[in-house]
Amino acid sequence: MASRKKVLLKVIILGDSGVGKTSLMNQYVNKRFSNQYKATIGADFLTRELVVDDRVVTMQLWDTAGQERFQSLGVAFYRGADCCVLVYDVNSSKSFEALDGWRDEFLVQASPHDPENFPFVVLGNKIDMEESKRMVSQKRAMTWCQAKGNIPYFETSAKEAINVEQAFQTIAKNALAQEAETELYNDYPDPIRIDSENSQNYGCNC
Amino acid sequence: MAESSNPNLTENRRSTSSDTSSLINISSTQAHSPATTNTSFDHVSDHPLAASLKDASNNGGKARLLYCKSHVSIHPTSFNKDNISGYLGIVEVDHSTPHSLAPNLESSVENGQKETLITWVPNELLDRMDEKDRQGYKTMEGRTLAQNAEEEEDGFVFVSLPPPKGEKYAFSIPITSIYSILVYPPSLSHWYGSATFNLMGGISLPTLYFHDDESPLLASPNPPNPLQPLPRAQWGFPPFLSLLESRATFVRSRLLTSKKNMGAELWLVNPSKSDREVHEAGLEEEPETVPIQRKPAQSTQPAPYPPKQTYPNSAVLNTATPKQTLMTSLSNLTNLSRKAASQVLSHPLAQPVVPHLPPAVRSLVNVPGEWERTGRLPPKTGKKNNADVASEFESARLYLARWARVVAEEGEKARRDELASKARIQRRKSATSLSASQSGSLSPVEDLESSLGVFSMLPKSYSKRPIPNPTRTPQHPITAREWESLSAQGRDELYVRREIFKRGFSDSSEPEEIKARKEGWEVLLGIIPWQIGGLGGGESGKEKRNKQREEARRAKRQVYAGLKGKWRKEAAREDEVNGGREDWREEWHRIDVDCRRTDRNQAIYAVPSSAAHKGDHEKEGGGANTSLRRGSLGADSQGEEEEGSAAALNPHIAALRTILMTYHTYSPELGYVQGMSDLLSPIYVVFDANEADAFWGLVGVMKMMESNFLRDQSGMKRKLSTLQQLISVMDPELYAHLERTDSLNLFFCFRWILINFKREFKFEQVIKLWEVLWTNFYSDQFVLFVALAILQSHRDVLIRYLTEFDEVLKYANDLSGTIDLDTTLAQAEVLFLSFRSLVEDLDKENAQLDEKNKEGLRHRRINSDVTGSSSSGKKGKGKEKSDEDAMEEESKKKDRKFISDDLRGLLIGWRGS
Repeated sequence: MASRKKVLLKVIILGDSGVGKTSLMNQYVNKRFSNQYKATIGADFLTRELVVDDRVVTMQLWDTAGQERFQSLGVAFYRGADCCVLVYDVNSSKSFEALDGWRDEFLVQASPHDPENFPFVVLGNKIDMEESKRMVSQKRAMTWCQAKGNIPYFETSAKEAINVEQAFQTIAKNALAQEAETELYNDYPDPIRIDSENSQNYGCNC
Repeated sequence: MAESSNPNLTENRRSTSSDTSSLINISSTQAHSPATTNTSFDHVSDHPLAASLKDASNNGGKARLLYCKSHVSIHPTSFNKDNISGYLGIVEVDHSTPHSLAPNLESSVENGQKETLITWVPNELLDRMDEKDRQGYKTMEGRTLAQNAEEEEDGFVFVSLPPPKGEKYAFSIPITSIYSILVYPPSLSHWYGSATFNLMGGISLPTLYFHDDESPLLASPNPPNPLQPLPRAQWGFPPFLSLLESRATFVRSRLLTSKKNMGAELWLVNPSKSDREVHEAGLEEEPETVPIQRKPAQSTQPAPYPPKQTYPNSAVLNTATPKQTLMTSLSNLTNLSRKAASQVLSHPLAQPVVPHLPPAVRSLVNVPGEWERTGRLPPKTGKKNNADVASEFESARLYLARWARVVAEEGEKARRDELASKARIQRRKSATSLSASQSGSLSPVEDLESSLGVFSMLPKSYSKRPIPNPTRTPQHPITAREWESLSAQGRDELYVRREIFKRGFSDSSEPEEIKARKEGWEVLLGIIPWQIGGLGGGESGKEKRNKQREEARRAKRQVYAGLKGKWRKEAAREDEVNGGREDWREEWHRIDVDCRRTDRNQAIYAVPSSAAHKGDHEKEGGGANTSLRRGSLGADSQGEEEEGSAAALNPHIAALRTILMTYHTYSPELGYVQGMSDLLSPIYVVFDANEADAFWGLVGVMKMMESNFLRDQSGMKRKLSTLQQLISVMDPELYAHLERTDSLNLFFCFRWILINFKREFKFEQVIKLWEVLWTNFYSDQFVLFVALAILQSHRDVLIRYLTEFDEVLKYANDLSGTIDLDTTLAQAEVLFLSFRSLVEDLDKENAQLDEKNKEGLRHRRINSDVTGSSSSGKKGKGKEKSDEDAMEEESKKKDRKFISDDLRGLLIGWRGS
């Protein structure tokens, strides 16, 4: 059984700029919140080991720039993702409305084998802010998640470490399930690779 | 809420032990989260076990201390300051009358009259205990050190047991109540080895971390040879375990193997038969390579089969052959996890790494060469699938890479210092004979020559010419007086740019010096062209010049005020009519979010702003203070409302926001793009927080860097592609390696190029770097040579250790803050000059080839004419021959190296405006 191999779960965190992707990731991995984070340029990742069911897995969390303009570069990072985390700011309707776009973009760029069942998790971040500032109700978010195939939904605060641990545990779990799926697929030759390899070396395209 | 993440495994752990899922809940014992460890240990008393705890502690109060070790800590939070250091001990309580323990406990106790307890006492508690106890602990630790504690029959040490209740964290538990011990030996992901005691009922005690490096236990009489790797087993837990092994049965679970579980080891204590079966069955994989096996500890139960793996005894290890020791170290390396990399590298200690590492970790980094020689680095063959990316080697590689770099840098620095001091001596000698030969702004070059060490790394095959010398002398920056004299002397702009390239401006906080830099930037960024007001002309010329430049400044500021007023007015109008322009509102939001997190560590942008805004500044620019008080996007009311609580608004941040919004309307095609706030922030500072000036500075920078921010990213792609080609020409070996590691897209350089290394250097350094780049003295794209210089100085590390795309990316990102600016710029210049020579040589060669070919062709034509006339019937053969010629020519062309247009473009620098 292949599933006993050491597992790397690749998780992509997407969402509008300033919704707290970097903060969430750092809260989960480093257990701290800093108000010194800058806008992410390019991409970076952090890893953390955790136990899912009875397995120790390594989760590699990819943090990317939030501005759409940079997403065309995402392909290289999206490839081989096991789970995609969509983050919005509960105090910004726009960031919530953008989730559709992020989801579609991801599916196009990462082109997972089974887009219908690819695991997403939605995080509504910054719930530590005053209730009066809140622009997206829990109900509204959950309705959206349900409509998109029962995407798990968490309301989090990276600042106060609320629900972060739980959310990422679920992310890991779903990613692990996805990983197992992908392994099955990997027994077959992957026709996409040729393309993606070409797209990596820009050379003459420009 | 979505499904809850963690089914409660902690209950019934013991009762259903044949069910694998209930074996042990590691997640609850990881104890990294404050939630699990922050609680005091009081809760044990609510547990059935508490009965036995009380029994133990009530027993006369004194117990024989068998073992004790200081510097064993609990980490209630992830902050070092919260660590609680204490003593781990093993004590034996003599029960005169057998007493019943909790019924489900198995019983090494029932047979004997003695009960063994594990205790942990925080230092703070020990300080409160009486002197005798304190002495006891210290004495015993000394004996433990000598490793003959048990033999000293005559010197029993008795101590009081710590109270099990009411003391934070302190505990004292019978060994029989321990279900298992989860152990993480020290590794890169666990700087300190740790042990977590999991009790029968499902409770886990706070994880104990062995701060062996602080403990006298490891101090050996002979200072350890830093080159001799310390055996990994030489940490606090194994001796502790071996002492316990005579008092209980320990079985190491084979379900957790160190390969798969970050080196974790799970030791079952007095396991039940069913537990044993499950845990000893292990996984379907080859046995681990623990080199030395020890005789299984005596136990009442039959020896398990296959023989259980135990810790190598440190005493044995010490006598082991070097090869065995090496093997141990190697197997450690394979256990390292990916997490280690990010942890180690992001750790503040990662800079001056080695001296601060615990010995166990230090030992790991002492064998990089060995490691490579043994061929343990997995050869990179073809594509790997995703799961394989998590190779266990990775973090070690990253770590070693960083380490190697540090060592190289230290060596380089030492070498440079030595050369510098030699140069000083020489200069002193020559100074006596050669007095005051200094002419104008030219400064001695010797200083930099001594820093040429890095260039020995350059591949020698660039050119037949000798490696060129760098010309920069940053240690002699342009002073305000010199800057003034440049105009007075009527120097042309190219000369000025060269001066700035070579020397940069002074960092001094003197107002004139600050002003000189500001004026320099106005020239570089095209705000006040160099010729404005004329050059030369003595005092009157100077006056005229200053006046005209000031006028130009004022005009620009007026234009800015107009631009700003326009969008604000429109925004206000739109606001009234239809609730505001949606596109602007979005843009405003984006800008706001980014400005608030730009350079927050700089005093000027700190929140809340106590830094005085320089009020003496002209108000034409709009004044940062007043920037957003009016206007509808206004920004204040609505904008504040939305984002306000994220951070109070500093007036300078407000100014950045206004500038960027104005730029957005000024250049709507491009709009605001992330990274622009990074470019703006130092400009705003250099322009002395003048909003209008900074705006024009941004416009100037964007003229040079606009292509980086295009919607389709074509500019960045092209730059990275050019860099890729540059690497292939200048360092084919590195190129090949990047190709092997799937890194040829150079994404790891993306941030570098996009914002001109803004995130890679400290704020002050960024300013120095940018004024050099903006001179465009050698090349409009000198930034690519800076990138190449950095890659070159890390090439050996990259090639030797980093084998995956993500490793390379992480390594590159983590270079931030570690790069020496002047060395890098010197190297970049050398690289540029080498590249230029290379192109010139190639062109010359090609021209010669062309010449030869032409001659050859002429020869042949004459020959064929001759043969053609002599035998007119052999036309066919003649044609064949010319085909041959064509092929020959073709192959000659292939031999030639061609420089692409992109690469040739690198040779284009400033050409005058």
